[in-house]
Amino acid sequence: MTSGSFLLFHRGGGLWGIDSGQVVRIGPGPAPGETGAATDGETLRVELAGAAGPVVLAADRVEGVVAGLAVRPLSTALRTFWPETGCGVALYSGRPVILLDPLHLPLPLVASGGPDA
Amino acid sequence: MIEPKRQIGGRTEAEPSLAPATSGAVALLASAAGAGIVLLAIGATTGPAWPLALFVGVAAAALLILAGRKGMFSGVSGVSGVSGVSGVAGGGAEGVLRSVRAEHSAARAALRELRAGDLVATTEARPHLVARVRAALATAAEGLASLADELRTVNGEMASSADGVVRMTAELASSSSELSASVAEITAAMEELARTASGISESATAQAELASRVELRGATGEDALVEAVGGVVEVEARIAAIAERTDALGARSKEIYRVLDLIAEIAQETHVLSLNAAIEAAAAGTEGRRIAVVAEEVRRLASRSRDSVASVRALLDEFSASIRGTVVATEEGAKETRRVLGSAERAAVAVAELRAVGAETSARALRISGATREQDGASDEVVATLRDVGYVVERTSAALHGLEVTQTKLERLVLGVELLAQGLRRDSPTSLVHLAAGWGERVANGSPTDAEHQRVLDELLAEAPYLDDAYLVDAKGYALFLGSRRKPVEPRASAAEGGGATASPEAGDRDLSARPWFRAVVARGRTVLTAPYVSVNGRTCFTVAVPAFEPNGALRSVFGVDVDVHNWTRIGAGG
Amino acid sequence: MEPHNSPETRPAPSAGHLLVRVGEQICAVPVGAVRRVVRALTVHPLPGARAELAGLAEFAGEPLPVLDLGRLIGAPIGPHPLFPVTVVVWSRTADGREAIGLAADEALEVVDLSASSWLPAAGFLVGEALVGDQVVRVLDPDQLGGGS
Repeated sequence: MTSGSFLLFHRGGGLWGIDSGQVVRIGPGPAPGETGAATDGETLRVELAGAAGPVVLAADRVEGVVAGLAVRPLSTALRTFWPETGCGVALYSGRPVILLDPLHLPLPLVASGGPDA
Repeated sequence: MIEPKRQIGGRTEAEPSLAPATSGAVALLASAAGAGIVLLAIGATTGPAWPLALFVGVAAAALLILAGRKGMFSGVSGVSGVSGVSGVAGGGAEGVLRSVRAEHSAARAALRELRAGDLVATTEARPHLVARVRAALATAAEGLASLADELRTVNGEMASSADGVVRMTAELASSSSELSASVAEITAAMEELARTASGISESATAQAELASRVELRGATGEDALVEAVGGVVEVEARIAAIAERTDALGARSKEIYRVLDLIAEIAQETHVLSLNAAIEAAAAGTEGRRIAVVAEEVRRLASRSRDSVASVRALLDEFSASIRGTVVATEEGAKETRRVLGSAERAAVAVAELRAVGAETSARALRISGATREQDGASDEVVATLRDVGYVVERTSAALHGLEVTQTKLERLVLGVELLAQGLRRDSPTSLVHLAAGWGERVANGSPTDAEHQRVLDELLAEAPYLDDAYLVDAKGYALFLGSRRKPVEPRASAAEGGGATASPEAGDRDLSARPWFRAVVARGRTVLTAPYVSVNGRTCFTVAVPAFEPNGALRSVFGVDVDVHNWTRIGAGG
Repeated sequence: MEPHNSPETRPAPSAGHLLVRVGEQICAVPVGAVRRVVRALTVHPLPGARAELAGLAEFAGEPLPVLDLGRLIGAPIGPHPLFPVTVVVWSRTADGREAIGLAADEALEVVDLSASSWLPAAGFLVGEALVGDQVVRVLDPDQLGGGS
C-alpha cells in the first residue's frame, strides 16, 4: 500500500497526506457554477485510483510530495474526538499531518466518486 | 309559391307586356262584359228584360275568360318560343300559362334583388328565368359590381392620402411645437442678458466711487494688521514647542510600556517554570521536597514581579492620560491660533489688494460702462428677430389647424363612399353584406345549443378582426346571443324558446328591438347596412343586419354585426 | 506510545494537584499525570472534529491532540486570557500511555487536596473539592481518551 512517500495538501484548514502511489493526477478545481459536495474555495482536485473506480479529492493548496515521514498511529483521544479514520499522524515542518486511508476517505474531502467510508 | 300579382287588362310593374292585338281583344270583351252588367241594371227596373240581361252578362263573362286565355297564349308565344318553355306540367294552355307565370315571378324576383343591390341573389340560378332576361340581369349585375370595385379602389387611394395627411400633420405639429419651445427659451435668455447688461452698467459707476473711499482706509488699517500678525506668530511658536515636548514624553512612556510588557512576559514564564518544577518535584518523591520549596519561592517571586508590573502600569496609565489631556489642549490651542493667524493674514492680503485695485477701478468702470451700452443694442436686435420667428410659428400652427379640418372631411368622405360601395352585395370577401349573410346562416343553422352558438360567434370574431360585436336576436328583438370582442357575454335562453330562464337583471340590456338596424330589418324584410354612428366606446361603427325567415315567410331571427370603421378600412382599402 | 512502566499509581486523595483556570472555572489535575505546562501551543484545527478537540499541535517532536478544557467541562468563555497555557498530560490507555494537551486560560498553582473535600462524580470529572472558598473540579486524565 505505502510507497513511503506522501502527497501533502491543505484542505479546510487541515494538512492531509495520501500515499503518492495512489495519486493518478492533480488538476484544476471546478469551474464557477459547478456544484458538488466539496467545492467551497476548492482550487485543485486530486484524482486517485480508487478500488471501485476513480475518486477525486478537493484541495485548497498542494504542499508537495514528501518522503521520510515518521508516521504514528492515531491516538485514542484523536479517535474519540474525530469521527473519521486515517492511517496515522505525522509532523511536517512542525505541522501535524493526518495521513488518509484510501479505503476510508473522509466525506468532506471527497469531491466525487468512491464508495462511502 | 308566390302568387303573381296581375290585374286583368292592366299592367303591373316590371311585367313583360302582351302583344298589342291580344290586348285589344281583351279590352273589347271587357267592354262587352261591362255592357252586359249595365243592361242587367236597367233590366232590373224594367222587369221583363231581366232574365235576358242576366244571360248576356254570364255569356259575356265566359267569353271574356276564354278570350283572356287565348290572348295570353298568342301574346307570349313570341317570347317563349325561342328558348322553349320548361316545367310544363299537364297539357296545353294551362301548363304553358303556369310556366309563363313562373318565369315572370322569377324575373320579377331577380329584378327586386337587383334594385335592392343584392347582386348575388340577382344572378342566383333561377330555373324559370328566360335566357335573354338572365343575360340582361347578369350584365347589369356585372356593371354594378365593376362600378363598386372602381369606387372602392378610388376610395382606397383616398384613404391612403388621408393617412399621409395625418402623418404629415403630426410631424409638422411636433416640429413646430419644438420650434416654439426653442424660440421661447432663446427669447427669455436674451431678455435676461439685456437686464444683466444694464445692471452691470449701473454697478460699474458705483464701484468707481467706492474705490476712492477704500484708498483712504487702507493706509491706516495695514499697520495695525502687521502688529497683530506678529503677535500671533509668536504664540504659535510657543505652542509648537509645548507640543514637541509632549510628543517626547509620549514616546518615552511608550518605551516604558514595552519594557513593562517584557517584564510581565518573563514573570509569566518564570511562573510556569516554577509550576513545572513543582510537578517534577512531586514526581521525584521525598528528594523533590527541597526542589518543591525552591520552586514555590520562585513562583512567589514571579507573582510579585507580576504585581509590581501591574502597579507601574497603572501609574503609567495615569501619566499617559494627563499627557494626552495636555496634547489635546495644546492641539486645540494650536488650531485656534492658526485660525486667528489665518484670518489676519487674509485680511492683510485683502487690504493690500484693495489698495492695488482702487487706483485702477475708476478707469475700469468707465470702460465697462461703454461696453454694456453697446451690448444693449445688440440684444435688442436679437430679440426683435426672434419675435419675427415667433409670428411665423403662429401662422404655421394656424395652417396646420386648417389642414386638420380638411383631413377630417376627407376621412368622412372616404367613409361615405365606402358605405355606398358596401350597399351592393357581391360574392366577394370585401362585400360586408355578403359576408354577413353567410355568417347569419352559420349562426342560424348551427346546432341550437348555447355552446355551439357561442363557438360560432367566437369563430366569427376571430376571422374578422374588424368586427366589434355580434348579435343574434329573435323576431321580437330579444337578444339570444351577444358576442363581443371586448368581453364575452353569457348566453341565456329567451322567453320565446321557453328555455325556462330565470329573470335576469340584464333583461333590459337584451331587448334590442329599439335598435335602428333591427327596426330597419323588420321594415324592409331584407339585409340592411346602417349609417355610421359613434358607439359607446367612442369608435365610429356601422351595423350590418341579416334576417332569417321561417318557411312561411315570417321573421325568425336577425343576425347583426358591428363593424369598426377604422379597422374595416385598414383591411378593405384597395381590395 | 510509551509503555507504562512507572510504579506510579492513581494519585491519592491528598496528593498534589495543578490548578488551572478556564473561564470562571478552576480545574485540578493530579500532578502525577502532568507532563509539562507550556505557553499555549499553536493548534491546527481538524476539519470534522468534535468541538472539544481544538486541533493538533506539535510537542517534543510529536503530534499532540489538544482538547479545549472549557468545552470539555462546559465552562462559559471568560475574558480574553493574558497568558494562556497548554497542560500536556499523560493519559493511560490499554497499551500504554499517550500525551494529550489541555488548553486552559491560566495555570495557577500546585496544591494538596485533602480527601474529605471530595465529592463523587462520573467520567473524567472525578470530583469537586474546595480550595479556600473556591470550588475546583478534579479531572482524571485517564478518562479523557476513551470517555465523553
